[in-house]
Amino acid sequence: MIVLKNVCKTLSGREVLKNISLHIAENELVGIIGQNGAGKTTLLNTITGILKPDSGFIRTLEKENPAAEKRVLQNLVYLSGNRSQLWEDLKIKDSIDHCIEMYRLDPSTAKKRLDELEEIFEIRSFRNSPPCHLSLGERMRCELVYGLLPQPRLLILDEVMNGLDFSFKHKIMEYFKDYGNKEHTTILYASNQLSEVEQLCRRIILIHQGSVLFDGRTAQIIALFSPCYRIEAVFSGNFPDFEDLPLEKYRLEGDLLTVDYDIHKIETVQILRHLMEKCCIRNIRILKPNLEETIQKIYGGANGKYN
Amino acid sequence: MRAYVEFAVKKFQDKMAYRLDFFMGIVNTAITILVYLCIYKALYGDAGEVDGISYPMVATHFVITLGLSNAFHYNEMFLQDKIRDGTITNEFLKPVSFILRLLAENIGEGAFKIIFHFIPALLITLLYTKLCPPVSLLGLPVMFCSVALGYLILWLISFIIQTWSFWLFSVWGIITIKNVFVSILSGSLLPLWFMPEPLQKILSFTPFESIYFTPVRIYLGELSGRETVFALAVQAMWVALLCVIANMFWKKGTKKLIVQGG
Repeated sequence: MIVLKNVCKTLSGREVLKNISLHIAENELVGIIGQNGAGKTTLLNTITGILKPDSGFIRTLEKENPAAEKRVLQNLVYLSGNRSQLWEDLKIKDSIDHCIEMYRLDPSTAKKRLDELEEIFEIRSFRNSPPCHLSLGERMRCELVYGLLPQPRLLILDEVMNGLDFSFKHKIMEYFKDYGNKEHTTILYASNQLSEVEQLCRRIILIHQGSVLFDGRTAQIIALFSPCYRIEAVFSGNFPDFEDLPLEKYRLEGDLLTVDYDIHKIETVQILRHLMEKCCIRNIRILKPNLEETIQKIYGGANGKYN
Repeated sequence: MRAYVEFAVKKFQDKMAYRLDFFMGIVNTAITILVYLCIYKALYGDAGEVDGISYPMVATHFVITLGLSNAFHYNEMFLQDKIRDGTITNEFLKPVSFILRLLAENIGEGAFKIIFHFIPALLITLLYTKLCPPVSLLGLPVMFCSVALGYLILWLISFIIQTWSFWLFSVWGIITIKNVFVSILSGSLLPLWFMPEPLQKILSFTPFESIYFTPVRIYLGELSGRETVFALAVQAMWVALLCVIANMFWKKGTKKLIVQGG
């Protein structure tokens, strides 16, 4: 679906992409993350063919220059949270009608699909309003419908959860989770909301200063970079002795005991067993590191300071 | 093709959304035309003809040129704004040609203004003064062809300058200067009949004469059958030539964008 080989790109004297190689298969859902200015958007623009790499090779939708062919573009939708696709002064339904014409969709299939999408994204009630009368989140939902209607083979979503409230975020995330396989669509999901990416994408690509810092399973990056788990226990009785366990650190505040440990060195059960034997535990909580913490750690490391 | 028609239709609808703009457009067009008619009425005084041109001919000339030039006015900063805020990339990813889409939108806007600004303004003008009737019924469709070709010439000149925004930070100044040149050299300020002979000669080698003056002369029946065909051919030639130039700038500009990122 997408192949990049040793892609380099310099924009106004800055090396924005440095030797990037990627392979993204059909129907994959890939999260793309990185700090501001890491090169995410440049990477996405290169993938669509809007930017030509200085050196290296790209191939998207079986084409080396996808943006040059209108036929190919009918299978590619790039939705962005800060660049509207809708017509500013027209009613939503007119914009959507136009989308049907532009992507040459079959009217009856498009109608059916539109019905479904209007249901899911709950936009039916603002069919007759222009985008300027809608809130940011409502507009974003319309944008999503506009982008999903042509059933593109490649869907690029760049910060599309902008302005969406919690319940919609959740709903849309659920919708996207198995969207790729159901609709035969490859999705690139770029976002700064790491919790979204963590929930949604099994594979993530982390871009840092123009290079791919990590490309692999989301669970793997967490295990690799932040192996530290934490147990929080409320206990009564004597303070247990941890001297013989390989823990990272432990702390006691009142009756709350916090234990940090590396899962590669010791298993959770071992600590639990130890605690149960030595003291009386009333309540316990095990905390897994999340993507956000992991990424912070990586940046801390990459920038030369550990937190 | 249908997608482009849809672009024109949508722009037409888009324009309908603003009621005040609709009424102001009529007032604007009517006033521009009436001011010129008053000036020329005063200039003519009791004279029946000046250089063989009668007052009704001049009046007709101004109604057509000013009416059309008001109708053919659109946002010429569109491309520049798109390039500046980066949304041009959005346009490149749509499965339609950007140039044709822009043309379709501008035609949609032009059609709207002709129907809702020009025609009402024309009726208002008719209350004030008499105009020359079309020379023949056949003349009208030929004139419409000529107007369409004139529009394309005007549009292409504007588009070529718009493409310069790939290289320049602002093309506003150049567009303003261009508009002054077009309005003087195409005869919408002073009819080309009254221009000095040498200037008329020079202008006949430029595209400006073909924009409004050719349709006006066809309408007034100033051209014989063969001359009309020749005038249309000249218009078509300019359209073709400007197309080539516009395409060249567009190709160069978009190439710069995909290589240097705008």
